[in-house]
Amino acid sequence: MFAEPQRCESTAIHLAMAALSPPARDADHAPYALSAPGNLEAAMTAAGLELSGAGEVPLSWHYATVADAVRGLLSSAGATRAVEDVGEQAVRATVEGALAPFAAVDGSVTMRNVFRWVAARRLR
Amino acid sequence: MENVKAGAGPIRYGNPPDAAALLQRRLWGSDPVGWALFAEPHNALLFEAVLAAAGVGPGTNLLDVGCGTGAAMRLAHDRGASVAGVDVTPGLLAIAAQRLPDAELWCGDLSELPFPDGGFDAVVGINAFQFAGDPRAALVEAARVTKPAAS
Repeated sequence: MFAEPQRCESTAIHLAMAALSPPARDADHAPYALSAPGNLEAAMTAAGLELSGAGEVPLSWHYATVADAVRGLLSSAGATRAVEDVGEQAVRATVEGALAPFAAVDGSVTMRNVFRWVAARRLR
Repeated sequence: MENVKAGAGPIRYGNPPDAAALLQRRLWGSDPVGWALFAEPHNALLFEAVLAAAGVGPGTNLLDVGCGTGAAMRLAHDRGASVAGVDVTPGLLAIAAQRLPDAELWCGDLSELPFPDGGFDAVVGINAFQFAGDPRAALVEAARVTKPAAS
């Protein structure tokens, strides 16, 4: 899952899309719901699991073109929520604008994110 | 990948998802091909890290909860694992069925898995549990279907 939102550059895209929907829909798509330190571990322990390991994986989301980035991002649940509320054209324009800080002169787009994993065992 | 080709494995359906799961189905189902081609591949290193942490290798009986288009299952298959997957979004599963015609694929709620207790050597949920209608119930179900003393 995503690490804390401030450690993921794609959070900028998530926030831009989320701002297109009313606050009442915040819970419809919450990619960082378990991302706070200890949240996932607590949920797994509550599920009866014994934690056995954890780690982080830096991921570079690299797209050859802005169009590829927009296609990928618009396929996400956060984009669908926004499209339902303001329409695809507005979401597309918002995403293109939010991607600008991550675009290179060759037209590619790169966002650096960090993901976390937690391993556990079922003892009985 | 735009259409399901002949040869794709069957997708089975469990109990009807609840309202929260149906919402996730709708939100994740707008462009499965776009997700498969332009989003999911960026997480390949995460998939490999999780499969390694879970000890997935030859003969592992693996369940991927929230399997999406099957990218992680494909990597697990390449490691020699026997793979099964559950996702609430039929469009994503249709692509998984193309990629893994022999996989056991179920369409349904992550909070109600159609498997017996302890049926899998390893269960993974990669960027998935936080999107379940009830993440904590989904974790309880994942634990239930995991073989005791397995990851």
